[in-house]
Amino acid sequence: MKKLPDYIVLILIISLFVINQEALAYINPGSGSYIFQTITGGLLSIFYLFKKLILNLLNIFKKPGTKDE
Amino acid sequence: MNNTSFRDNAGFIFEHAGKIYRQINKCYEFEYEKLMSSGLYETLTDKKQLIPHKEVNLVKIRDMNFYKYIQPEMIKFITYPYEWSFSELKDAALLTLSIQKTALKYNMSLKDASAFNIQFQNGKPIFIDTLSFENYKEVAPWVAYGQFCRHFLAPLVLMSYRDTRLNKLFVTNIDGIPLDLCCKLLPIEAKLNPGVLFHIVIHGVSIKANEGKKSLNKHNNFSRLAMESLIDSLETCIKHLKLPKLKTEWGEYYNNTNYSSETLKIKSEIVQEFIKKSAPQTVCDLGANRGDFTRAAANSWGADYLAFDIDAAAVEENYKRVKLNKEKNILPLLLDLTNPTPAIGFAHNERADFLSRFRCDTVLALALIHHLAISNNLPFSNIADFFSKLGKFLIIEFVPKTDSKVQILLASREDIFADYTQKDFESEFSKFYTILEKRELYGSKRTLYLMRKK
Repeated sequence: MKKLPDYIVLILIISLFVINQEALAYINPGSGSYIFQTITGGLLSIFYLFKKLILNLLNIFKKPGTKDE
Repeated sequence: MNNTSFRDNAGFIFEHAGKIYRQINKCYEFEYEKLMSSGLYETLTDKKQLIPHKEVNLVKIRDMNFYKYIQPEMIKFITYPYEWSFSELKDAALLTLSIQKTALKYNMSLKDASAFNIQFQNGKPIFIDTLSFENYKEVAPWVAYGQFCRHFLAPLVLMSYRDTRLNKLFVTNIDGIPLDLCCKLLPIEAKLNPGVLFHIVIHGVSIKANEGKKSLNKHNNFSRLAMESLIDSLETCIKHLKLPKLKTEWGEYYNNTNYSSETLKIKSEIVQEFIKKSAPQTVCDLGANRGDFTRAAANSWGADYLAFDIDAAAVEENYKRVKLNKEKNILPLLLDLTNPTPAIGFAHNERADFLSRFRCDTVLALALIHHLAISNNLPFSNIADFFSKLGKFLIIEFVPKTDSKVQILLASREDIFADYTQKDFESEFSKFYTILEKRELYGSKRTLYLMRKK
């Protein structure tokens, strides 16, 4: 997966704070969460893959016989 | 139809001949069959994460949407998230995420993540909504993400960083604590927690910012990896949430008690004896504290014990003991007896009140009467009336005015309780109960009673 440049990620996050639209009673309250996930999915994946990589590296150096949680 | 299920178009719960059933509607046929045939149902029920059910025939009561009837295993007591301690809610949240992770392996996903879909059985949380699973679409975000954050993450974060009493916000927000409200209540240090910053703060801002958006289809580009990352991130955030060390009056009660160890032992023996005499199947221990006497009773008589207390630290400690000892028959719950859980939801009809859910055989009310009568100005007759609605037998401890604990209660207020005497206590309670036995507690000025409802 191609990593987004840092400045784009930063702009995306800042835009979440500055975009403000009028609240409409007819809007499904789940819409915001839905869109939020699609915007941040890539970022989350990068952190997740990085975390897995670190855990795998740590596992290599772990004493044999010790188990993960 | 059961009051809790009228919002779900996939089916509903109903009672028939004293048993609970669930109708599955035709529109849910595909998802239900996939749940059953994919191996997901078997995996989750084997792990005791999902309530097991059997398919049944009830010919006469079919309606036009009918596809199947199932009979889920009965849950003895329905409890709600605003009655759970921090760790109970945390375990319920982690169970929901674990189920979502397992469901993804079978190409299914949870379509809702309501805390009301979790109940406690045999000392552990269990998922009860069999109709919450849907087919997983590879590019779609998790439709229940917002609900999960409102129902689980927001109250947990508030309890962890601000105050354990804030889970009561659930009572006024039946679909979970709105993220913008949660954000306003959180201290700055909470917002520096990466998980909280992401799932509560930025997520909350995003909800506000996107309120006007119409079409969602063009945003469908949420990969399976992104879904797994989201679940992992939520799980990591919740696992790291901890309750600050709570030091409250009740959490430390037995360290500051005026009982000698011998008196405690004798009291425990009398309680055990009275419990055996009332031979209950269910016991409500009101003011159970950390559950010391609940446990003593449970060790001598096999029944289901509900251990209520107003103090979050005591209920938390009690639940930790349940987990540590792998106790299956004690369920610690939060309850303010002077303001019991109300009925909430549409037409006050979605989540039931305290009295309509908790009926038991025996009520335990140890070292409680002075708090109700003196701290809260409740007359003996009202207390007796309320207890008599809860259960057939009552084991109650009378604490006289001369007791040091009552003296503490009276120290900072005028003694307007001329009727607070053992004679008046017996006289008022005798209107609702027959006093079967009465034992003075050696080494104290207190008396234990066993009563039967008239």
